[in-house]
Amino acid sequence: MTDTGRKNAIRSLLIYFGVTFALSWGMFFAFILSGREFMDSSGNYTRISDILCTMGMLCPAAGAIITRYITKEGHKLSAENSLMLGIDLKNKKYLFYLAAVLLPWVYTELGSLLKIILNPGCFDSQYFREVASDERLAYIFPLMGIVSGVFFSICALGEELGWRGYMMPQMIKLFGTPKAIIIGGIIWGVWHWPLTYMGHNFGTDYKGYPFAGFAAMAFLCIIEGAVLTFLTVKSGSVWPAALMHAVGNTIPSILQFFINPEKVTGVMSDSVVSFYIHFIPLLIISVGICIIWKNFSDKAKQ
Amino acid sequence: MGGLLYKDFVAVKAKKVMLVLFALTLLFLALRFMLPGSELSGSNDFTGDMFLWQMPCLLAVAGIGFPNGILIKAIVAGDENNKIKAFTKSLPLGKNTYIASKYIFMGITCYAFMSLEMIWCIIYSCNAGDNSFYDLIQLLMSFIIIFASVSLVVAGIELPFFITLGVKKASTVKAVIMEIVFLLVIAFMFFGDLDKLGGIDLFNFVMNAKEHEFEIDLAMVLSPVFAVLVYYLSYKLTCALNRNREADFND
Repeated sequence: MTDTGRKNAIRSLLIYFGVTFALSWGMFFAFILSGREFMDSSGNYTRISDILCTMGMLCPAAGAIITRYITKEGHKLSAENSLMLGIDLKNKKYLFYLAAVLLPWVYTELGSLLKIILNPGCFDSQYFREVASDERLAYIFPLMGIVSGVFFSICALGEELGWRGYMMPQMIKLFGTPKAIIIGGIIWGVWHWPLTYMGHNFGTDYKGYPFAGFAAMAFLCIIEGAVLTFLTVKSGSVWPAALMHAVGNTIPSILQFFINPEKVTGVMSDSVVSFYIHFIPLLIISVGICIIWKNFSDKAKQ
Repeated sequence: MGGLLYKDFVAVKAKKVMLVLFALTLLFLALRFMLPGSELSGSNDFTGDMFLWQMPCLLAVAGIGFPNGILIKAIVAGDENNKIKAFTKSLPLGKNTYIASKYIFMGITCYAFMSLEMIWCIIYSCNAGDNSFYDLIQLLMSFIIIFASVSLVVAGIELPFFITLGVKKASTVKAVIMEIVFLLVIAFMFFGDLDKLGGIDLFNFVMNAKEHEFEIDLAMVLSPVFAVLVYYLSYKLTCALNRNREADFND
């Protein structure tokens, strides 16, 4: 990479981070300072937190579009140095889309299974009757997650347009893929920190609040970011990443309806520890994908 | 393909439409915070909720009506007026690329309206009171995918007519069908059992919907599958109907 190309990539990234963090963190900190509640007394997200997360998730897309306007990179929909919005299903690329919608089901189900194996006492065959208004809902929940994830993917698309569609290609140019995945994942995780501070994902009642939550979020963003980057690079589009992100956010697992949180004991009752365990299958998938990706890249170089 | 989609994007003045919708979304957000909802047990000032709940509902109607009522006609009529259809046939594109571009454009429009509808429902809910209007918007949210599926099915029915017959003939067929439906409604009003309509109550419907959550969610899962299947079959049908029309355009 030439010095000019390097300087341009750094400049573009700095503008992107400036715009994205200013927009989203501006909103998040305004919310914190306003004193409004992100979670109610029973640990559920308040209605206003929904709109905060929705608007926040659209900020990376706004960041990417504004940055492209400032740097005069243009707003091409597909091809190289574009918004990566094109959809190409040829050459078996449809498999990436299929993987994108099914992987979250696989890793969340395995994550729930792992929780049950490590803490068998938490398995409660009647718990789903308490959480689901209709028992049958538990069994179609993954399908609902996939359908609503695919159709309501606009917010996830907002994030992916920024992080995978704009940040990662620049990062890969600057640092190479392995380092880019780690640095990009950490930055993506840091972006979530104000939400983590407010209680997103972990609540506020855990050991080492909020720093343990910050670390866990960065961990998730690195491992999930690796899979999302792989899907984006291989398919040439941000759509598979957006679909996987959206479906993943719905936590499409049947087994979670059989885990009674009140019966979880020991270290696993800590929300951050439970979070790490839940994402161990994703970590394994992520490492596996990185190894396969590296092997393919090495073969291509030879 | 990208070029054909962009052409349709320009033809329907989508940039202006997007700016207007963006401005309306910001206005709706501002209004929602200026007019907060009231709890059932709190003060009885329902001004905010009564006034604002109609906006997501109107958007839901527009989301079904606008793509099918206006857009299909606009994108096909634009091509006919400028002889673009004949021009694209002369380009080194796949045989069905032109038809596919229309289907993809309509699909993207349905997705965009559905996404906007979801955002408007979230905006409404963020500062809503705990009352029937909030329940109604929650129900609307669970129906968004079903509405989008209906919109896609209607587009799947209209597109073969407009692409194959042209705007003039297709509009006539559409008008005839609409008139038949209208006459049937009138006939029902004169001769049907109107007492059946008397029992319709929106809020009762909301209460009943809560008891049928599983059926609604099942419909939410199955309706997109059905809609996509109909849409795909419609595309195949349009391709088949237009297979031998190439010579007409080159003449």
